[in-house]
Amino acid sequence: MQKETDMRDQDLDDLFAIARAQAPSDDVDLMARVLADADQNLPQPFAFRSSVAVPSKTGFWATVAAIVGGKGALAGLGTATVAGLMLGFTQPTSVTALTESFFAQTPLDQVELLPGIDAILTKG
Amino acid sequence: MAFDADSDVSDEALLVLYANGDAAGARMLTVRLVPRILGYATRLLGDRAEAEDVTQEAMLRLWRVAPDWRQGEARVTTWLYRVATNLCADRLRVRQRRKLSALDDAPDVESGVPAAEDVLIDADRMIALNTALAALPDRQREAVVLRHIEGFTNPEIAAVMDIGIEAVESLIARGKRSLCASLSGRREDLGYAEGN
Repeated sequence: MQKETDMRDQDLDDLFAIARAQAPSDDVDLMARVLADADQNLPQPFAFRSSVAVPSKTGFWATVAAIVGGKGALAGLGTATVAGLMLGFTQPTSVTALTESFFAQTPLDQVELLPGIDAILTKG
Repeated sequence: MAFDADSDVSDEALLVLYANGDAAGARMLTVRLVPRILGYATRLLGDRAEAEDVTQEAMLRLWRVAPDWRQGEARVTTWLYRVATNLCADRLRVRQRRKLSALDDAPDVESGVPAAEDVLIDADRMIALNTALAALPDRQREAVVLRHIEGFTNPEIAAVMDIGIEAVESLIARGKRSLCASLSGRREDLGYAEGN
C-alpha cells in the first residue's frame, strides 16, 4: 500500500521535467578545447587539378599554340595560311577561269578546267 | 565570431561539411552538441571535471570519424551519445574498482547565486533527483536519463546502449521504481505533499 510520503510517478515526472527545463551546461573553455581539436583534425579537401595543360611560358604565341593544340598544329596552320596566300597571289589559270566565269566574262562551258597535257609535253 | 546553433541544417550535413574541410560545420556542431553531452555525462558520472573530459573525448572521436561517416546509417546524436555512454561506463568501472562512492561525487548546486523561493525549491529537487540517480545501477541510470531527461525514444536508447528495446523498457521501469524507493519519505520535503 502506498504511503503518503512515497514518491509517485507523477512526482517523479515532475522532477524529470525540471531537469529537462534546466539550461544545458555551458562551458566556454570546454568549447574552445573542442574547437581546437576540430581544427587540428580538419580534413584536407581533395585538391582540384586542372586537366588543361597550362603553358609554362607566357606570351601571345605560346598561348595560341596551347589553344590550337601545340607547336605542331601551329606550324601546320601557318603552312596552310602561306599556301592560301600563294594561291591568291599566283592565281593558277583554272582558278582564274573559274572566278571570271562568275562575272560572266567567259561562259563556264567554254572554260577548260582540266587542260590537256599536250602543252607541257616536250617534243622528241 | 558568432556561434549560431539555430539552423535547419542537420547534424549529418554539418558533419559532411566538416569532412569536406569547412570548419564552420564543426563550430555549429560544437554549439549544438557539447552542452547536451556535458549535461548527460555529468548526470551519469556525478563529476563535472570527468564529464568535461568525456565530452571532449567524444567530440574528438566525432571529428576523426567524419571523413568515414556514411549518411543514413546512424544519426550523429545517437552515435555521439553512444560514445559518451561507453566512455562514462569505462570511468565508472574504474571508479568502482577504486571503490569510490558515487554519492560522494553528487553534483553541487550552483553556489553564490541569490535565488527566489521557487528556484531554491527546484534546486533542492534537483539535488534529490541527482543523488537518487547516482545511487542507481549504471545501466538503469543511463536508460532513465536518456529517456526522461535527454528525451530519447526507446528505439534510440536501444541503439545508444546497444541492447534490445525490451531490455530498455525493463531498465527504465526498474530504474524508476528504484528512484521512487530512494526518494521515499521525502515527498513532503520536496513540496509534493497534497495541497502544495
